[in-house]
Amino acid sequence: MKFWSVHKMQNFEAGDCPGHPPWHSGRVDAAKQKNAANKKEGEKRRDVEPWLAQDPGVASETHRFASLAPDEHNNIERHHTVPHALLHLLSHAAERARTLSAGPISIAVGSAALSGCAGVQSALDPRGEQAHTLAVLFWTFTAVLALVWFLTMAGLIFALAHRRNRRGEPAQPRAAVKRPMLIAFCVMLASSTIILSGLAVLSFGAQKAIFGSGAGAALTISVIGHQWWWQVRYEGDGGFETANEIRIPAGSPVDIKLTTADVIHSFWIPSLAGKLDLIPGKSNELRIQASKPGVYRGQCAEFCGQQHAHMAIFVVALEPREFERWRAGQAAPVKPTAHLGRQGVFTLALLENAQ
Amino acid sequence: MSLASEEPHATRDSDLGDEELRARLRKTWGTNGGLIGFLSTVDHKVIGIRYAVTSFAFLLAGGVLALIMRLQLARPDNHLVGAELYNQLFTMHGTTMMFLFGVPVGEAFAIYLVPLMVGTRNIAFPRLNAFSYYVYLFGGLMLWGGFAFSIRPDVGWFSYVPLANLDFTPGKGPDYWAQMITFTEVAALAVSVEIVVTVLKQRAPGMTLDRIPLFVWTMLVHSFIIIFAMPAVMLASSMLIMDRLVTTQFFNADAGGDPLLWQHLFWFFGHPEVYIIFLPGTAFVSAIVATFSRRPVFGYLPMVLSLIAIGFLSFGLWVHHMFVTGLPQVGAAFFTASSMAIAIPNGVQIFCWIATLWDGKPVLKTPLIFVLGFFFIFVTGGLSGVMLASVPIDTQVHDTYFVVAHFHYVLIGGTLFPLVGAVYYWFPKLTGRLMDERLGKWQFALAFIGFNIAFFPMHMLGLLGMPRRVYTYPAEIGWGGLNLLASAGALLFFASFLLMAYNLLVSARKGALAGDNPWDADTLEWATTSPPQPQNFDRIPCLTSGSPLWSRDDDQPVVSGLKVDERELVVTSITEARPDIREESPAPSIWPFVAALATAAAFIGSIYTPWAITWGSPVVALALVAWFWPKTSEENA
Repeated sequence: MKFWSVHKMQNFEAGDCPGHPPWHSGRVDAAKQKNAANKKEGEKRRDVEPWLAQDPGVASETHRFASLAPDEHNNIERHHTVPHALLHLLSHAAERARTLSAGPISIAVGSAALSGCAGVQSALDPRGEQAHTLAVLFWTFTAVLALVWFLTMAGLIFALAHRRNRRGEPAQPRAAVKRPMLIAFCVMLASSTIILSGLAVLSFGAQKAIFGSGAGAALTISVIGHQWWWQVRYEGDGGFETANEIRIPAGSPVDIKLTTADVIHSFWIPSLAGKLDLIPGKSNELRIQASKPGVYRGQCAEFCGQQHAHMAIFVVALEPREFERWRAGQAAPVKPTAHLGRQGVFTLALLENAQ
Repeated sequence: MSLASEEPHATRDSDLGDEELRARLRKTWGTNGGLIGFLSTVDHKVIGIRYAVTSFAFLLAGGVLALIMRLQLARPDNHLVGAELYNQLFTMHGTTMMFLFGVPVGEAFAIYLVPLMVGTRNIAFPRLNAFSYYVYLFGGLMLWGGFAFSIRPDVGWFSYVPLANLDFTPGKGPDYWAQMITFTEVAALAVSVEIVVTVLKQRAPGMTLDRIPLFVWTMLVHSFIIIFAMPAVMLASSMLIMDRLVTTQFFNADAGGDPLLWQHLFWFFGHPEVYIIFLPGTAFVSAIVATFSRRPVFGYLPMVLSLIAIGFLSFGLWVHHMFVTGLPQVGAAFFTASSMAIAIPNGVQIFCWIATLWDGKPVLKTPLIFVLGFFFIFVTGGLSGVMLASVPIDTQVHDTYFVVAHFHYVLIGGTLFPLVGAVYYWFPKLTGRLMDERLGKWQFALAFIGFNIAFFPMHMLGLLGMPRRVYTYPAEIGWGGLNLLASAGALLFFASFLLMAYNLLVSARKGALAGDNPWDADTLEWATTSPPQPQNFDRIPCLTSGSPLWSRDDDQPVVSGLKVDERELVVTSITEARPDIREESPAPSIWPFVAALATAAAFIGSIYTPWAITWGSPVVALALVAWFWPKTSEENA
């Protein structure tokens, strides 16, 4: 089974943002070898691809979503709450600054950022509740700390400018401590304490909002890290497995149970939530939620060996109705007659193994 | 002040004129020629320079590795180096920069400058000092020798288990890595003990606690941090090598061990390590800012208290490296607060330096210009550090290029820029010649622009989702432009160091003569010749103020009554630096070299068989017996 090709879904190839990875095919030699070792296990897993090919309705709908221009999409999504509006303003201002500022560096930076395929894998392009909270917190920190930076640099530049050396000036071994400097010192100490305390309180607030124990999510999915792929297990009656791809219903929280079969990995879908490690002998739980249907890329964020760079995963958020349909399709017995192509061979192998 | 007592036969410094005194002291304190003399030397200045040259060689090697990595990442889907080699490169880069450059280079300056600054003739335990250098050298040569012969660690400078376990990484790479840690930590601990004793017991009479130069205070705190932090990583690396070699199960979750134990031990060392590397940078800044502002640093007391606060707080932050391992939230939140708290003493230091410049009359020479670069870059890195202290923000940027940008801003900005300034500043003391100012300013321009182009885009790359330690990335994901920019900046930054090497080589031969005190600085190292005599000072100075060379008095009191034909030091009391006793300082000896050789053989052998420790220990013990063999002196006779 080629795990590296399961993402070649037709619905994502369209649009100006070809985020799905044709780059996986044919390049990951060592990973392939490793996967060959896992082949037997892998063949028991159902591929998600055939379903998409069979269900044109869903595919076209996701397609429509994917081809929305990023900004249009943002507008739909972001104006519900004050922090979201603030975030929107800030990111817009940043974009404008990027495009307006001249000079080769900023042009390169700007073009790189614009070509950056904003929806795929970016902490600055949040598409879920947690990622929103995180981005707002990030921009608040950035604004406050940038102010501190500018004040410090202004002080430094003024210190250099206001009394330049006249050559050969003798040193003052006992410089008097002047009153204004003492006052400035106290102001600096007090204000930095206040600023840091304020930021700490904001951080605690966000931490509570993100990790606070809410009601249990309707859906729990187990993700098991392997060198260098992700095994995804839908628990419960009619449970089934996929690889390197998680399908979730948009708009409702999903708990991801994280364990590892070998070394430490880290599960990270930047546009949905922060990361969390998969550690041997330990089970971690991360909640993710996608506001809208879409495809969100992530990749392993803890160095896990040779092909760490290629350990990617996709979260596909579907309309709840479609998600249920897909889930039911996955859980149902496979009909080997539908498409006797490549997949057909695998399903036959699966049936043989099951007996 | 006279220390002369009984023993009327020995010649004392009070008996001789200046010329003859210098000649006799030179003979007493000098190093013999020949290979044996070369390997036996215990002169802190010679060993300090060896430390510095060795660590700069490792800097260059680590820099070349970084450059290869940047070339690989310059384009998406690049095939310059493969996954395997790339993983080896970043492992070697991190390990070299942290253990073979960052820590030793701070020690190099401490070994060379602290005895001069406190006005003594040699470092405390000079033979241990020689031993430490050889152990460090052998450790570095072992790691790079292994690299040359394809025994290459490839599990990161942090060697997380279980990836570094035998199951996932067979071969000897991680063992070499773990033993290299042992080597450099032995060396670092030895130097720290020497510095602490030198500062506390060998200060010139009159150098009370509140007259100790800030440079020396910083190195004292730095040494204490090493003494308390390094044992944690030595323990961890020993446990790792035992897991790999004799099948202990410290880190094996299946057998009741815990992979997180490794992370706790490693980061309990790892975060103080950041301050171990950074504090020498602040020491350079304090010295350079004072000299070129033409006044002592503003707020001596807050500066010293901040240093001590940093020393303590640095031990309370390690968990912020583990925010995404799924620790309990309340515990993690505590470390948010402590990580933010350390910004306050750092802020105090920054404020005091800027206030010094403000109140002084700054002279813009190359050393000060590099320190100005330090302010710009380090403050940026410090503020992004405040972001990383926040648990929620950290869950997004942890292990991404944002963190790579952050710690290069902190470590290169905080240590390397002041370090280059320090090289320009103290080079005249080491060689007697000034470095070229014009080349220095060009170097700064190149380094400053190159650095920012190389590392600022990495902040954005991290936020755009690029994780660390990936050997390549797909074109479709759109990280190509920023990576290309970063690579171009890295080339410029590297070129600035080539310019520095050129400047060093040319200036050492043809630079303008410096004289004793070219910058009109105030600390004692400038009171002696450039380069200093083997005895450092013909007559040990006595201090009447914290800026001895800036007092208008031409008549400085000195110590008299020390023996001339034996290596004698003044030992003073800890707080008030009152002269206490005369103490003999050990003479050159080949045995520290032999002991280091035996230690190295035992450590390297232990990678292959635990019996190496059993057979190596008696050899080391024999070398130590010879090393400490008592000499019959007239006082013992």
